[in-house]
This record gives sequence, C-alpha cells and structure tokens, in this order.
Amino acid sequence: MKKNSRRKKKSRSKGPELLGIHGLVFSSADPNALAERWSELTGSTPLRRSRREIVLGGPELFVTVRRSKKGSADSLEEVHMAVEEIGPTRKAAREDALGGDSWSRRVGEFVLVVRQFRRPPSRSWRRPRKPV
Amino acid sequence: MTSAVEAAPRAPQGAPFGAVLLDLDGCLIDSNDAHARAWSAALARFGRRVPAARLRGEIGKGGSEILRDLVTPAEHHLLAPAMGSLATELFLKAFPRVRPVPGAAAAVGAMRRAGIAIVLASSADREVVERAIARLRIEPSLLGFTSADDVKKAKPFHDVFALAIQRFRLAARRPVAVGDTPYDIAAAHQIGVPCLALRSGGFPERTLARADGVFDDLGDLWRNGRGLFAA
Repeated sequence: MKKNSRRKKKSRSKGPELLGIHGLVFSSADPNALAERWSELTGSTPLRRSRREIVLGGPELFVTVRRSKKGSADSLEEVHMAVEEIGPTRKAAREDALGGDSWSRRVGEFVLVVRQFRRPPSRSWRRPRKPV
Repeated sequence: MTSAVEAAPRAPQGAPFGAVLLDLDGCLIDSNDAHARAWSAALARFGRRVPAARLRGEIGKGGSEILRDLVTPAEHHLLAPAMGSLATELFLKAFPRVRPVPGAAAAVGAMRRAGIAIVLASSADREVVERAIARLRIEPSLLGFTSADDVKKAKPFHDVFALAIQRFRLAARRPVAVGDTPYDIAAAHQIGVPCLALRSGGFPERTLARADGVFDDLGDLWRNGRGLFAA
C-alpha cells in the first residue's frame, strides 16, 4: 500500500499550470485542402498564406498547415500549449514570434511546444482588425 | 459646482465613518486619461485598435474586466496578463507627466491627523500604487494599501475593499469607500460599505448616481463632508 502511494506521488511531477492547447501544426501534401476544410468546420480565417504553409487564426488559437512531400499522409507535427507561468523551465525558454517565452521537446511523433505569453506578437502574427 | 450638502442631503447609513477605503486613480492623481491612452497603445501592439476615448469609461475596473468586451474569449484567457503588463509598463512611462489632484494629498494628511484610518484600495498594479504613494508623499498618512496584485478579481468586484477591511481590521471602525467611478460604488455596495464619489475622476455625474454622496474632490469632501466622519 505504501509503495503504491509513493509511486503515485512520483509520477505526478509538478509542472507549469496549464491554460490550454492553443495551436496545432499539421503537415499535408495538400495544405490548401486541409486548411480549407479546417476553416469550413471551425470558422477560423487565414492569417497568412505562403507556398510553404498556411496559418489560420491568431497567436492565441491557431492551426498551421505545412506542405509535406507529395503522396505523404497528413500528420500532426506540433502541439502548442499555453501555461500561466513557465516558471522553473524558464531557463530553457526562448522568446518567440507569437509573443511568448517557449520551449519545445519531442513527444513521440510530434513536438510539444510550451509557451507563456508575455508580450505583443511580432508583425507576422498580428491580425488586421476593424477598430472596436 | 454642486455643494456636498445638495449632493448628499442626508448622512449615508453607517456614518460617522472612522475609516476610509480610498481609491487612487482619479482621486489622488489625475491619471484616468493616461490609463486610457496606455491601454489603447497596449491593445494596438496586440493588433486591436481601440480608441482611448472608448476605453476612458472603463478605467477604474481591473485589467481583466477592461478587456472582457474588447477581445475574444481565447485572447482573454491567454493574452490578458501580457496585455495588462504592457499597459502598466506604458502607463509607468507616462507617470512623470501625471499630475496629482490639487489638494488631495493635503486632505489625506488632514484626515489622518483627525484620527481617520486611511487605506489605499486600488485596482491598479502594486508598482503603480507604490509609485503614486511615493510621489504624493502620503505614506505616513496611510495605514497601508491593497492593489490588483493582492486579489484575483479587481473592481468592480468587491475583493480589493474586502481585503483592505480584513487586512487592516477596519470593520469595527465603520469604513466608507471613496472613489471616482461607478465601479468603486458597485464594489463597495456589494459588501454593504457606503461609497462617497468624487467628480475629480471625470466620470459623468449620472454614472455616480448610486453613490451615497458626491463631492468635487477629496479636498471638497474633507471641507464640506467633515461631519460624515468620526473625527
């Protein structure tokens, strides 16, 4: 009994407080089709579009579809997770274009990006909007 | 100008008051316009164009509440702290140009000398409150302060006032809130504390209608409303 409870405690490492998943990066041989379908289903609009990738949404909630080799299946490449305070992991964190401090690690088939939003995003991540 | 006697013909319930929960912006420093400009500039950096004039009526609320109707729920959930930090940073840059409300610091000193306990209870960040106290040189007259950093929900929620009453043990001294916005009035009334409103913050008279008395500024309150206090 004692052993079990000790094991339970150990497995629950104290990580940063999670706010939620706020971004997904997919790769697809046909990024236009995947982005269009996503847009249809969720209503998120393109932030920018290039030959290499399409970004839908904004820093707080985005989906990026990157072009992959012809014939390859669609796959999830990155999961972006927002945290309240990046805290003890901060040393490994770097400023990024979304306006956060973030670090990333590979988790199986995809890369996990953990981010604390701390400042305004760079111009490429700013959405043109009507004045309030 | 309307005199205090016209504005508050009857003494509010709870008078005479022995303690004051005093708001900062618009009461001690003429900073509401500077806050509106700082928020407008901060939001612009996040791609949101909101004129300072549109934000002016929101000043007095905590940052999270200011943003509630201006950004999407996702932005609010994830970006509000970063937006708030930037707004504070921009406000502090403009702080040297913010002027004290004439006579307000002197009134605080006079109240203290008369034996009234005064706690600054503001929705602004701790750094702003500390800078203002230092600038006005009112620290010896204050029992202490509470700021947005001390509570989860700032005004118009009652937390800042409730914490001030609890932390400085003011309940038995019949506290009254003194503020310049409808959010001060709402916050105080939530916990049954009367609120005296000041016009010095520039809020329209109709927005202060629920106050238990309206005065031009803190100096006017002390000159014409002295009878409301247990001095």
